[in-house]
Amino acid sequence: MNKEMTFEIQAYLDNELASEADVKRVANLVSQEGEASRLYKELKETRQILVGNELPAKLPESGDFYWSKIQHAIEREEMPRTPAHSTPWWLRLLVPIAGVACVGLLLVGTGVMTLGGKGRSAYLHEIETSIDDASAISFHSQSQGMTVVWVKGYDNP
Amino acid sequence: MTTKLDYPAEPDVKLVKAAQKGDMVAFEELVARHRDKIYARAFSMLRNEEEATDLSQEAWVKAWQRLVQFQGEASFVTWMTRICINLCLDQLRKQKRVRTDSIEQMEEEVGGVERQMPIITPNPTERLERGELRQRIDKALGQLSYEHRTVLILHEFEELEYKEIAKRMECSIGTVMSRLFYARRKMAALLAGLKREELR
Repeated sequence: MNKEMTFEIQAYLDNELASEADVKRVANLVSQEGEASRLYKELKETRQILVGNELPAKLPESGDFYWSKIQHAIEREEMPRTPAHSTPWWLRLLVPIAGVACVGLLLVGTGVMTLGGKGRSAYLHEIETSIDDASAISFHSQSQGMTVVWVKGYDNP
Repeated sequence: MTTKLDYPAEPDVKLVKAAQKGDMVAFEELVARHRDKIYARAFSMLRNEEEATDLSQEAWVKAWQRLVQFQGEASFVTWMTRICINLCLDQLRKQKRVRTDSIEQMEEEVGGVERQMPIITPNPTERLERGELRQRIDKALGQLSYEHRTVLILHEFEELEYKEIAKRMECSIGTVMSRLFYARRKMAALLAGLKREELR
């Protein structure tokens, strides 16, 4: 008996053969051929012994302790998500709006400074400040619409 | 108006519905009802108390997180057992990757000594107390490789079809058939051997 045949006998036992023709063929084999019949019997009896005879196992620790660990794990998993859910929708919407407003204000401020008149523009072109503890140099480029401020401490020349 | 639940008296279905709405007490009751069964499945697959306890707890945490996905096609405990089995299989695969097992692997697929074994009759009709028989089966299961043990558990105890076992074990149906065949043959030999041992 080859390997494929033995697997077919098992599939017949487990009701897993694909077609009715296969079922008939293997049934004939099992009823007529001695070795096939013995193998079928062995597989069937092994299955019969196992089904419904699994050894029940009991949890080796107290139910309360077991649950407390599950509960803590659930709470730990849910913790990072909690603040986001408890924040009201309007507050969550306020953050990007505030950001956009700040950028807008900055742009408007830069525009006012740039278009505020020739004198002021010329004055803002380059500023050099000197104080006791630190020095700052700012640079404004009118063509680029950009202001750069460089602050330098005496400790860190 | 919501009616107050009498948790220990409610059926699983009602507890699941309450837990799906966030009722942790209902979920606790479900854990209390089925913790032994879920632990037993993890232990039968992993054969290690500590690992089985940790993994069964992980299964309960996963179940809480996925509770909204439970639609009631199967019973809650069946659904829960499936989660536990999947976690066990992941764990066993990780352990398997660590082990060196070229000969063992080959034997899983084509059969080891059990391929040459004469046909055995384990004699299920002999007069054995159920508890004794269960002990003997458990001892024999513990002597199988994890692939053979898993395929037997999934087929004989969980009653899964070849196709479903193949999906869960990430192998072909042919491999399932082969593993199941050699697992049964080995089991027959072990049960017969254990019987002989006891008679000595």
